[in-house]
Amino acid sequence: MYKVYEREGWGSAMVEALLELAGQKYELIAIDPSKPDDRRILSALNPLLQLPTVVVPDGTVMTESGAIALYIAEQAPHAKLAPMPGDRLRAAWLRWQVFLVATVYASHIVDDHPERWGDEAQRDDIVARGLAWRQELWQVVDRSAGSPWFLGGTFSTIDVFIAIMTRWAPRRAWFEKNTPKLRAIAEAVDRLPALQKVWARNFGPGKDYQ
Amino acid sequence: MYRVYARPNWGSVFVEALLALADEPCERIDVDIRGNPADRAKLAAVNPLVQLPTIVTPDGTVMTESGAIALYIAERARPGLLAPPPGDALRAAWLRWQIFLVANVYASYLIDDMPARWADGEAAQASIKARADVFRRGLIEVVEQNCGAPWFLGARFTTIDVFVSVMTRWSPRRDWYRENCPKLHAIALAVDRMPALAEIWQYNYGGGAGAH
Repeated sequence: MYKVYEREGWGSAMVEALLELAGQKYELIAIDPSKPDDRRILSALNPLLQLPTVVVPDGTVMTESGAIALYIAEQAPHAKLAPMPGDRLRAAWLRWQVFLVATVYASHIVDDHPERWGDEAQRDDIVARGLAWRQELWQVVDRSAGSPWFLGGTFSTIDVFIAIMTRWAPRRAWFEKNTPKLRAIAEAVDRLPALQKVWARNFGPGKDYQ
Repeated sequence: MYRVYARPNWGSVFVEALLALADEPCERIDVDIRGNPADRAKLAAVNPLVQLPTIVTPDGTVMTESGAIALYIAERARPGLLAPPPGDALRAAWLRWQIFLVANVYASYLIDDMPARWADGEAAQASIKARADVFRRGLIEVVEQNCGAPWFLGARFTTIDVFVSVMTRWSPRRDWYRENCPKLHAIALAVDRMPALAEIWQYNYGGGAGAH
């Protein structure tokens, strides 16, 4: 049993979706980082208070959606969430899965927390610049995207990340206009029957990242 | 044969070090991407973001992202040489911290390596750089709190230790680590001394690893 510390629409959605696809049992523990009690619960496992934080079945604490995706993919080979070692697509899968977390996802440090980098007067400008940088990165990803999935005929964890990360700024309306291949992938993942429950919970009507 | 686009003391140093430890032959293609437009064009043809490291694997696939390349080299090396293999009790911790180093610590240089991207004017840019440095120290202290001995994961040497050795040469640099992160500093020195890496350190840092 996996324990997933989560918040609707946040990075924990990747973990939830991948565990569903892998057919793994998991328990969700909702965390509201604005509540001191919740912060205490999470900080015991992860002092940086990041979501996702996961306890895997052997009791190891994991953080980092990218690391957790790699772990779930190799723990559940039957679910075919990634090209396995030796497959000719393995290098490309590793490259772009890590690019998505270490370059694209990581770029949210600029605009999700502008207060870290500048004074009140600078903040709107920093947010705009962070967003512009990420739009450039997404265009690189779009140029490298295959069809119907990112790696072509092979579905992988990358497609799940695209479906979720395109709900964050600059959000779906921008992707629809500017990155047609990523848009198509996101919509195909949206329709996967196994994920309907996860999508309703994280991105359904009235949710922050609908 | 791997082809590695390289520049002394840039992100390519991870790849060179890991390939040396895995005993994989590689061809080094030195690209001066800031000083030489022809070199820049050569790399842009393979990686439009003009990042280092960029490599071409023996099967001809272009890879970027030091974290991805580390995972790839580790899984092609003798099982256990550079990482706990799948199924090992330390596998989850290795994945977590290897990705943490690239997706949090390494990624934080995005802020201070390109301050002009985030603000105009010298004062605002200097302030952003200083804030990024403080932020990164907070991340590094969490890494130190989770660090084992003699290696990051305890008895088992992994790719993480190579990243610790290389990244501790970057801001806030080794003197700060000696004072504030003694466990990471000890790992860095132990990796510096590995005979298999002597040539790599010479190319990247010149004058012997001890000079820096």
